[in-house]
Amino acid sequence: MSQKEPNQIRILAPRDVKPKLDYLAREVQEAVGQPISRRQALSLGGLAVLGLSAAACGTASTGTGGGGSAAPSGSTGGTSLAGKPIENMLEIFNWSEYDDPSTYENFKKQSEITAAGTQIHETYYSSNDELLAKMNAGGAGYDIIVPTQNAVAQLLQENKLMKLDMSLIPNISNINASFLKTNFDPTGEYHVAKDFGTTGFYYNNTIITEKLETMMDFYNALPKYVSKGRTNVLDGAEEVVPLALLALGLDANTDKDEDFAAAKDLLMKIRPGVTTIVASDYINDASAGKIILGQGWNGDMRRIVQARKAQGDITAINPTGKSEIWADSWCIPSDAPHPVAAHHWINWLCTPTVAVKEMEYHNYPIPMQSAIDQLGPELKDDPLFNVPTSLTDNYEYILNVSPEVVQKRTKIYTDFKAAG
Amino acid sequence: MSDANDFDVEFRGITKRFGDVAAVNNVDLQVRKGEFLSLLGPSGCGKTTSLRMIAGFEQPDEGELLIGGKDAVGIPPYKRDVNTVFQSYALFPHMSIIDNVAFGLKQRGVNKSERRAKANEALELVQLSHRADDRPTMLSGGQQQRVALARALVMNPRVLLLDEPLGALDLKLRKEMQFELKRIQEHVGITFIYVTHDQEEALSMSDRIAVMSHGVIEQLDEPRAIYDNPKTAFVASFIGEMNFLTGTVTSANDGHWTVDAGVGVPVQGVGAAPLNEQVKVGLRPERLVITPNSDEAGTNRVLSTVLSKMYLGDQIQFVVTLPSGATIVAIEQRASVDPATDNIKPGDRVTVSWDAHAPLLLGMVDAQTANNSDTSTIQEKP
Amino acid sequence: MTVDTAVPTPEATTSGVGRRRSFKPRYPAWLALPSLAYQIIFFIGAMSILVAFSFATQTGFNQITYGFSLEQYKQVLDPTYLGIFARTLAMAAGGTILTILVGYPVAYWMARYLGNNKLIALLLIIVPFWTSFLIRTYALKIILDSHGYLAQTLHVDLMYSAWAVGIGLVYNYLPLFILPVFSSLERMDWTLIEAANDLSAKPFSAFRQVTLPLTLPGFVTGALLVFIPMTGEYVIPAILGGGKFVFIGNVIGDAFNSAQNPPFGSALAISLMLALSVFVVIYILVATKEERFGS
Repeated sequence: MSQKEPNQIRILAPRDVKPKLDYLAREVQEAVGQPISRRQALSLGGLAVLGLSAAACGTASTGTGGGGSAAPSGSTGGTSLAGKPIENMLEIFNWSEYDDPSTYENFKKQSEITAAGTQIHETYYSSNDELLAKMNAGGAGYDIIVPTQNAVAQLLQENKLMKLDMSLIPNISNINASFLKTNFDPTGEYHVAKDFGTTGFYYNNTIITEKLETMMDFYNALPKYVSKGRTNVLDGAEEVVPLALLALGLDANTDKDEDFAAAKDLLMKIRPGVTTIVASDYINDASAGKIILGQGWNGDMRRIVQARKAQGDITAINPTGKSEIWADSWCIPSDAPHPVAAHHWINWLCTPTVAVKEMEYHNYPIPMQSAIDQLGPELKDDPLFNVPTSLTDNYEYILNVSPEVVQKRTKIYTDFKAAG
Repeated sequence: MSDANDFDVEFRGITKRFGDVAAVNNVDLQVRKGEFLSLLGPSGCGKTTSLRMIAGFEQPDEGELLIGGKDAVGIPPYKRDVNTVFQSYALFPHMSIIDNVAFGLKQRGVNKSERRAKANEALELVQLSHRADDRPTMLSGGQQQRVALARALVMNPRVLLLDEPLGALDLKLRKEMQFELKRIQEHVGITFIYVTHDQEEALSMSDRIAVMSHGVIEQLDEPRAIYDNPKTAFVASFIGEMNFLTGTVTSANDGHWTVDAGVGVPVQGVGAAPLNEQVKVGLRPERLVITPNSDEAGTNRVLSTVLSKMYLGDQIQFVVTLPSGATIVAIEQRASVDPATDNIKPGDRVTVSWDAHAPLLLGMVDAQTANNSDTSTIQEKP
Repeated sequence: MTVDTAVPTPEATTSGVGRRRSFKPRYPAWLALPSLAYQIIFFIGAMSILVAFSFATQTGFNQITYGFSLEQYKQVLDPTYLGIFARTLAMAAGGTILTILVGYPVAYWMARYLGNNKLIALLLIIVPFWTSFLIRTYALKIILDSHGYLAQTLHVDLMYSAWAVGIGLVYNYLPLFILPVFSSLERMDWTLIEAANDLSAKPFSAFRQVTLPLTLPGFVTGALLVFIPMTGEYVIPAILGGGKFVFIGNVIGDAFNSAQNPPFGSALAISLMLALSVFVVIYILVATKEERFGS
């Protein structure tokens, strides 16, 4: 896959199986001769291309032992790094194939980096659980990690993130203001947004001719149209329950029993209208025209709409009112051995020219208006890519607030599924 | 032609092929009511196939098969009024002895108390009622065979088919069971069709024996007739031991014939013979008399040399070389011979003689075999 | 026990004793220690951890305090989970019955009719097992799909129904049933069936009274090999049931992965094990009743 699928991080157990499921689903469909969209083919072909580039830049390390000039900072406090030298090493722990190869090359071509002789070494993980497990094990020696919001919140709570020295990241001014302080990092001092996605819904406009605009519209349409074809809602306790809460205009991260009761009522009411509850392979089915109404993540819905371009029968909606937003962020572990180089890396990624290349590569929006303005019309003018800030401002990050909240969500989710 | 109802089983021109091979080839057979008939022959002679056709496990390709005078072709085994005792016993290992015996009655819908009573009766007949509640594996081979017999007999079939039932038993047990089988057959009066390759077994139990070879019945007769008057060389060799001589019929009149078998003296026998034809003559070893002091030769008296001598307990077996160079086997009963005979040593000159009723004319020799078949002794048994 | 059975006949005893003597072990028992150590560490060890988890209390995400709390088991008794337990067992039982209906005739045909081609047939049964479980399930999805071959040609749209889950279960577990049944049918002495037919038993009657009881060990083994993992199934219901058929395995998976609540997941897993044990013991007792007590 040439990009990290947002759904990789938000599936029902087992999470680790999920990317494998997606990949296998596509492989099998290709093997039996089902048509593959241009975009899908691209993502398959990307494997080989990026495999090469990873080999080219990924392991060109001169050995981590050479990075000893920097004193590792074990403190999470606002230790100023100003004036400290850039280390000769940068250890990145990332989702695979998540950044443009030129980003690495051009980073190293900057004069101060060349002067410092910084080498980049990158390793990969495939789920936030894997990242958290490595971080919990300690001593991993990473300088840069890319957690999703929940993982940011959890690492922050465990004091495992370094408070960023914003004097070293002047380019953060390019990032849209609403992405600085968030519910998973209220002070905005521990993360810099890398890219984001949203949850919406899509429907077959030859069958559903009425205008659906809000997430509540979506839920209400389910029982109405289920007799016409397959409907689908996204799977997972962390998806099903918060989305229902958002549709009701409630706090996605509520811990109030009355809120949960209301969400459960809604879910049970619309349950007869749900044909399937899957998050793993709805793209292929929807692209084949098999789903008439379903929830989806914006990146996936873009692919579905493109796949159905000839028929033009799929309309995808970024809901007005409340919905879900998710984001991956750049973070530095509190015990990063090369913090100065890491800050430089983040600052580099906040450069509009770099962000443009990155977005063209991974097709996820970076919240940087100046960069988005430079994109070609196929991205800039596609609301499924460039989700308007006027909408995302109403969207909420779904967090694992507490074990109790997760427990309540899981219980409702189980009831919802079992009610079939 | 007799009435079909006189026979429990009748084959009319039955042929059964497996691939290109005719296992049973155009066979006619009539099994009389209440008789003990053995089908005797080497493996592959068609005896088991014949039995399996009667049981219904195989269907004939050609011909008519009548059981109790009724056409049985196409009737499945479970609808036939015949039962089988299998060579491997085929007892149901998961059932007790009594349940095994009662199995057939249960299939016929006989109620539980009645079938238990009948099964017990059948077990008593085979003297195993004390093992009724045991599993088959707890019984010895002979006991298992008796259970198999009881299981078939309890069905009171028109015909009981026995497929080499004693084949897996040791010699002593086999002898006991032969006696037992005969006793039971006489007691129940059911027709027994008994398949065996053991001529002694067939001779001791049967009312009649059908000797089979290559899918055909070579001879069907009473045991004594089969032994004394085999109609073919095959029957002669298969039943008991037999020395064979080949020669030309030089005279045949007044109920006597003479054959020149190249042994230096004429071989004379009783009966009719085709003049000037090449024939095979059989001489049973026990019909030969060895005399120690070489006497003058003459008709049915040959001067020979002892090649070897072997004690068989109550018998002595001599192998002697005839003047022609061929060897023949002679068996003498120790109880009835001259003590001098007992003292004969290999190398001694002896006289081998027989009476005129001993030589058996066993048919003509065809052109191909005539050249290479000299006098020979059939030693091996199939 | 009667005196008769206690004193077996001489010919039965001599052979029995002789055989037993010759099978006396020749090597010391401690050679099995490495295997036993593996069992203790990885099987009993893992089980102990699961038991310890189930009595612990969750204090945070993937954080627990050990103790002796029955709280998790109380939660298990919630009607939601009891209902899912019942449905899981029912679906697995249904899947097992379907597997038997499909698998037994195949095993019978292979053992009885194939002669020298048995091994080829066996290979054909096993070979699909060499491909990934997921690939096979996805392939099945293509067949069952509403827009797929089955639905379009035969107008049977089973996708996302209980039948689809059932077909998926049967398909994926069939070899596990066929193999033990085939091996007991292979050892079957078919003369016994001739004997039964000869004793007036019609073909099906002979099958029921002779073949079935004699292949019962393979049958029971096969049924258990199929039933037990079916109760723990969670991928097939997710893929072929469209996520609508929740097995207890899905709930356990959610508890461990999504809710990061190992105590509850462990309590569910232990409860499933206990429920299965009871179920399996009853099944074995019923299935082998005739074998042990006679008819």
